[in-house]
Amino acid sequence: MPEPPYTLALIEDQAPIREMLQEYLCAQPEFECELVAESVEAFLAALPTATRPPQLILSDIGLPGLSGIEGIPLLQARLPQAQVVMLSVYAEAERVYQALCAGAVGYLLKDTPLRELKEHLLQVMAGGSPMSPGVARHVVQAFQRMSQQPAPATGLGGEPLTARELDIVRGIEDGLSYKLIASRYGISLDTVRNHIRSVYRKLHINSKGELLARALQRHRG
Amino acid sequence: MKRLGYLLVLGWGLLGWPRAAQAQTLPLPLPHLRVLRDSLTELLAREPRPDTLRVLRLNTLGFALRLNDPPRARALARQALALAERLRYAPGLMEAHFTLGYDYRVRNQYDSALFHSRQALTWATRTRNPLTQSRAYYNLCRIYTEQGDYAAALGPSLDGLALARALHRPQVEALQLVQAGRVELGLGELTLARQYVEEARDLLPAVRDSVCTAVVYQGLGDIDRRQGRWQAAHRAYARTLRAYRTIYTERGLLPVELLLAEMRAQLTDEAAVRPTAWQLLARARRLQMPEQTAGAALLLARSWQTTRPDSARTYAALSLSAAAGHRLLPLAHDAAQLLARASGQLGDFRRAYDYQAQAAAFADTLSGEDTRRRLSAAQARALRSRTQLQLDVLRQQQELERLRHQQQVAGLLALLALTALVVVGLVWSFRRRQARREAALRTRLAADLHDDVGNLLTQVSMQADLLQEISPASDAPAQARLRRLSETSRRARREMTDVVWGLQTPLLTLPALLTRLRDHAYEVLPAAQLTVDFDVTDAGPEEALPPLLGQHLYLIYKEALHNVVKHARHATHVQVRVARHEGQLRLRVQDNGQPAPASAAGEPAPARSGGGNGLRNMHRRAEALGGTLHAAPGPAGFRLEARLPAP
Repeated sequence: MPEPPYTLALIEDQAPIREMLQEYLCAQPEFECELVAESVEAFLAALPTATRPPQLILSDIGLPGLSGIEGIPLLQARLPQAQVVMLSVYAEAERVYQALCAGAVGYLLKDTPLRELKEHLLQVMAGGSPMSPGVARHVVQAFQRMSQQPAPATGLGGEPLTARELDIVRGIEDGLSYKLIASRYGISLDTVRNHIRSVYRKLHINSKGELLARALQRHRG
Repeated sequence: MKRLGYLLVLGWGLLGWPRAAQAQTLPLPLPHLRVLRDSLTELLAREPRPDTLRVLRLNTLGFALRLNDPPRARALARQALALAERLRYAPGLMEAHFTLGYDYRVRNQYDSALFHSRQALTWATRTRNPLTQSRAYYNLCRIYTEQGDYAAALGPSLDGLALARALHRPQVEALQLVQAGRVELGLGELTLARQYVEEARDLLPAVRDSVCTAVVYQGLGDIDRRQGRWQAAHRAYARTLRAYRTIYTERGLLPVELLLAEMRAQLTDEAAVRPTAWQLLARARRLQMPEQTAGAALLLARSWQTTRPDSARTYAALSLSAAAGHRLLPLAHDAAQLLARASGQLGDFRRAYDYQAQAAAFADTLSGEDTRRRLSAAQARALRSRTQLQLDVLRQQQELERLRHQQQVAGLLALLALTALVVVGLVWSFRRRQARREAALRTRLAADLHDDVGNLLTQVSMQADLLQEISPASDAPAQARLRRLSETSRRARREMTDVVWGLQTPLLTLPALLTRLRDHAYEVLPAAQLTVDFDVTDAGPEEALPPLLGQHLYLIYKEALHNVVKHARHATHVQVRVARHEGQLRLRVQDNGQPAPASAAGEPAPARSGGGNGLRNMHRRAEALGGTLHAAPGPAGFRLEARLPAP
C-alpha cells in the first residue's frame, strides 16, 4: 500500500478544467502533481522526463487523438503499478463499464465537487474503487453474459464472480452504500472495497480474454 | 265455339306484338289456316283504322294465304306494303316485301321476285332480324336456283345457312340445308348435295314439323332420282306427299304427285301409270300449272310411245309447247326428243329431223348452260373461299393486333404500377431517411449543446468549489453562496442531460426509463444525505413505451424527488416503487420525513405545497395522460403515487 503523498498525473485537454484541477489537487498535501498533459500521446512523450513515476493517473475520456479508454492499456504497459481513474462528463454506464473493462479502477464525473473528488482518489489509493449503481448493473450483466457463453478454447478468462462478489455488486445495484453493504453481509468496509476491486480486475481480465478469444476466432475463421 | 278457341289460341300467339312481325316461317296446318283466315278477314273489315296493327294483320293473313290463295295473298301484301310505307313501319315493310318476293318466285317472275326479296333482306338487316334475314336468303337462293343460276344461288345459300346455324333453330337450319343441297345438286355435286340433305334429315327428330319433313324428303328424293335410284326416290316422294297432305291443297300437292307417278313409271312401266298421269294432266291444266302440265303430258306421251305413236306425238307436242313457253328446258328437250322419235315412228322424217335438231339445240343450251353454270359456280366458290380466306386472315390479324395491343396495355399498366410502387417506395424511404436524419441531427445538436454548455457549467461549478476552498471557512455567507452556486450549476447540467435524454423518449423502453430513474436518484439524493431504496417491477418486454408516458413519468418523478430534497423534514430515506399493474404504470415515492407540526393527516401541509406549482404541475401532467396523482402526507411520511395508463 503506497503511502501519501501520492504522485499524481493529470490528462485533460480542456485548459480551464485542467488548470482548476491542477490548482486544487496539487495544493493538497496528499498529492504531488508530477505530470500534467493534454493528451495521452503528450503524456507518454513527456513520461521519460518525469522524476518519479506517477502512482495515480487521472484521465479524461474525451481527448484529442487516443481516447482515455484507448489510452489505458498503453498507460498500464508503461506504468504497471499505476492506478488509472477516469474522469468524464458522461455518466453513461456503458462508458464506465468500458473503462473498467479496459483496466480503469475508478470512474469519476467532472461534476463531482472537488472535495469529493479528492476523497474518491484517496479511496482508490487505499485500494477501494468507487462504483456507481449504474455501473454495477452493467457488471452483473457482463458476468451473466460471460457465464452463458462457452469458455474459449484457449482457457483464457471466463473467471466468474464469486458469490460474495456478486452479492456486493447486487447490493450496489440496489443503491446501498458501501457501509450498508458491509453491515448487511457482516463484513468490513475494506473487504467490500477489496471485493469491488477484484470484480474490476476480473472484468478487466475477462474482457481482455474475450477480446483475445474473438481475435483468435477471427484468425481461425 | 271451337273456332273461338282456335282464334284465341292463335290470336295470342300470332297477334302478340313483335313476334307477329316474325310471324310464321312455315305454312300452317289447314284447319288452323282456315280459322286464321276467317278471323283476320273479319278483323280487317271491322277495323279500318290505318295503323301498324293493320299492317301486321294484313301481312299475317297475306303470308298465311300465299300457298293456297296467291292472288289474295298478293293483294293483301300490296296493301300492307303501301300502308307500311306511309307509316314508315320497318317490320311491316320487311314482311310485305318478303311475301311479295315469295309470290313472284312462285309465279316465276324472277326479276320482281329478286327485287322484293332483296328489299326484304335489307329491311331485315336494318331491323336486326336475323330470322327474317335467313328467310330472305332462303328465298333468294330459291329464286336463283329456280332460274338455274346456281352460282348466284351459292352466296345466299351459304349466308343463309351460316345465319341459320347461328340462330340454333333446327327448322330454319334444316330448310337452309336442303336448299344448299339443291344448289349443289344443280351444280352436279351429288355427294355434297347428299351430305347437306342427310344432315337436314338428321335434324328432323328435333324439328318434328311436317313441312320440314316434306322438304327434306323431297330433297332426298330429287337426289335419288338424279342418281337413278328409283325405288329410294319413290319412297322419299311418298313420305313427302304424306307430309304435305296436311298443308297443301291439291294445287300444292300436284308436283309431288307427278314425281311419284314418274317414279312409279320408272319402276314398273309407263302404261301402268297412264290413268294417274291423265288425271294429273287434267288437274294441271285446270290449275294452270305449266310445269306440271308439261311433265304429265310427257309422262302420258311416254306411256303411248311404243303402242300409239300418234297419241304420243300429241302429248309430246303439248308438253313441248308448255315447256318451251316457260323455258323449262329439260322438259322441252325431252319432249322434243320424244316428238322426234314419235315422228320417226310415224314416218314423218322431216319433222323428226326438225325435232331432233330442236332437241339438240336444247341439249346444247342445257349443257352449255350447265358448263357455264358449273364454271361460274366454281368461280363463285373460289372467290368466296378466297374472300373467306382473306377475311379469316384479316380477322386473325385483327385478333393478333388486339392481343398485342392488350399485351402492350397490360405491360404498360404493369410498368406504371411498378413505377408507382417504386416511386411510393422511394418517397417513403426518403421520408424515413429524412426523419432519421432529422432525428440524428437533433440528437447531435443536443449532444453538442450538452457538451459545450455542460463543459462551461462544469467549469462554473469547479470554480465555485475552488473558491469555497480558498475562501475562509469562517466566511459563512460566502461559503453558503458558493455552495448554492455550485449546486445551481450542477443542477443546470442535470437539466441539460435530461433534455438530451428527453429527445430519445420516443424510443424509450421500460428498462431504459428505470435506469434513468435510478441514475437521477443517485445524482440527487446522496448529496442531500438521503438513501434510496428501489423496488422496481420486472422490466418486462423490451417494447417502446408510449412516447409521452416515459417523459411525463420522469418529470413527475423528478419533481417528487426535488420536493423530498427541498421540503422533507428530517427525512433520511426515500423509497421508490415502480410497478406495472392492470395496464397502468404506477410510481410511488415515499419518504420518512416528519409531518409539519399542527397539521392533521390528510391536509396538504403548507410547507409541502412549496410554491404550489410543483404539485399542480404534477397533477396536470398525470391528468394530461389520462392518469391520476395522489400526494399527501401520512403517518410514515409524505407519499406520492401516480398512476398512468400504459397499454
